[in-house]
Amino acid sequence: MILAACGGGGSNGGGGGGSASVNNTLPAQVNLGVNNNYANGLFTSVTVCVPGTTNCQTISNVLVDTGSYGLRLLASQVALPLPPSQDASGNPLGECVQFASSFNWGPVVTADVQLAGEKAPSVPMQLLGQASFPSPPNACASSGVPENDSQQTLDANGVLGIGVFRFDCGPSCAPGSSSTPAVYFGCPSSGCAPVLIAQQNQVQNPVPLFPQDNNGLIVRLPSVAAGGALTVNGSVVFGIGTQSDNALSGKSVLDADGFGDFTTTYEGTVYQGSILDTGSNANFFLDAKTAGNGLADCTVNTGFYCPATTASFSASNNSASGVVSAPASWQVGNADNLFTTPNAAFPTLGGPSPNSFDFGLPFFYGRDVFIGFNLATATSSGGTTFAGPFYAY
Amino acid sequence: MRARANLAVLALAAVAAWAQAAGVLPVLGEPLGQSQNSQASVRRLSAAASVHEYRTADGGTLRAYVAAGGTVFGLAWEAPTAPNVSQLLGQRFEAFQKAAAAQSQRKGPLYVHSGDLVVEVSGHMRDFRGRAYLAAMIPSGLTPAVVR
Repeated sequence: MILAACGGGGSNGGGGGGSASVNNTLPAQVNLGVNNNYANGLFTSVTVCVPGTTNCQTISNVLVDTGSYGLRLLASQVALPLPPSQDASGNPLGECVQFASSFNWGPVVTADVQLAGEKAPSVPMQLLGQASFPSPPNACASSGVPENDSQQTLDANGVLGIGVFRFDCGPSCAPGSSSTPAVYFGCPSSGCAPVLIAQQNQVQNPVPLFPQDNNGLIVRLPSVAAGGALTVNGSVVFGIGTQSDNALSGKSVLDADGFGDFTTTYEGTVYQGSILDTGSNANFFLDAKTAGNGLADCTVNTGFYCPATTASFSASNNSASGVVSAPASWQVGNADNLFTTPNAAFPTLGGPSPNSFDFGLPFFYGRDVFIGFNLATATSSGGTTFAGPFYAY
Repeated sequence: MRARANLAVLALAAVAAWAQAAGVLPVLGEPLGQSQNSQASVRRLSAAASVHEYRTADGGTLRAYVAAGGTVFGLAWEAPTAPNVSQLLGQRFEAFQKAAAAQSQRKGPLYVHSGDLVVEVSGHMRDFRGRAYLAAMIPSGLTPAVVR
């Protein structure tokens, strides 16, 4: 279903045609979040509407997350009668979605999603922690990580997943899959059980459903001094090479693999599974025992690094094809000291993650980071067309 | 409307869906069962340990690191859907749950080092990666780095 729109459409890069460009710039801010406790969280407001109507609501304090796919909002914050989705048997559809250190549970519903001037029609999204919906099945709790379905535990009103893929589970959860993962659940009155669900009906990144500016996006944040900042104002710009404000020029384009990852070479060793993730609140890499890292773990703010003095690091990020490499350098400061300040933005926050590089929000400060979507293409100012998924900076 | 018993069977099948096509998951700290041995490709790590590699039903990979005596001292996985951690960790699951709840400021990969138990989960939607090991059970001559 395509909404009528002015000007050029299509998912390819090219000159913006038409009389008036759609406002493709969504303001976002790094601040302490709804509970005044969030370090390196990038938050924005999302407008959702009952599909095909002007019955809309704007939800603030939604985390911008380039490491996940799909819009999830706390049910407690949404006052609209968004239509619930069903499985193939007509039962209410729920989802148990795993993040590395938490899970979410709730019904799948449909909404028109508006971000800046861009509107995506009838997007499957998730409501979290809906009291009237069945409680999480055992398969959710068997992950062992906490359930973050309240404002108190999520530290936000929702998550806007705008990473490289469109569908949050993909072929693994769709008809034709050789197994039925414990992700989507049909919930008749007798109880919830795992089901397969066609990809187009899965919870998904809303941006590919925009009529234009839908082939990728840019996270645009200013530089931040090493000691941190109280707040940082930035934006998420939709489309790559589709308007005058989203040109791809002078950047290294790192194609990603089928998992949406690239690789990182550090001190001669190549590490798999690298991503650029605004939903991670530090640069998480290696661990204190890795040769050359040597960073001490914090004793107060566990899970972060606490070197005595700020340390500098550099590595080379490589495209999945191996053809393109781009340097990366960053610093790691003492998190226990940083957290005694009232700041929300910390460019030097780092933490351990053995065997991988998860470049979190600190990587994005002072850069335009381009996220090119899977199954889309983007054309640079120089006329080169790149196929997603890719990262460029 | 499905009968309760049928739903239970379905749920169990789905919970086991992450395991290899037939058989159950290896469990951290437990002996590797005979039926599990037959499912895997096996590789010697040293005189003291071997790696058993399985394909999970969702097309992912699970590796069990087994000491010479037959006990699973480490696990590592990469798969498009999340593993059933309660099955993998067995008796250690409760300790893991407590430790996982403790790190609220950190938003990112999971990094649990709780006494002898280490569980690290990185990756993201559609690409879950993780490993778990019991530090005290790692055979002499090997380091935790072998669990990957």
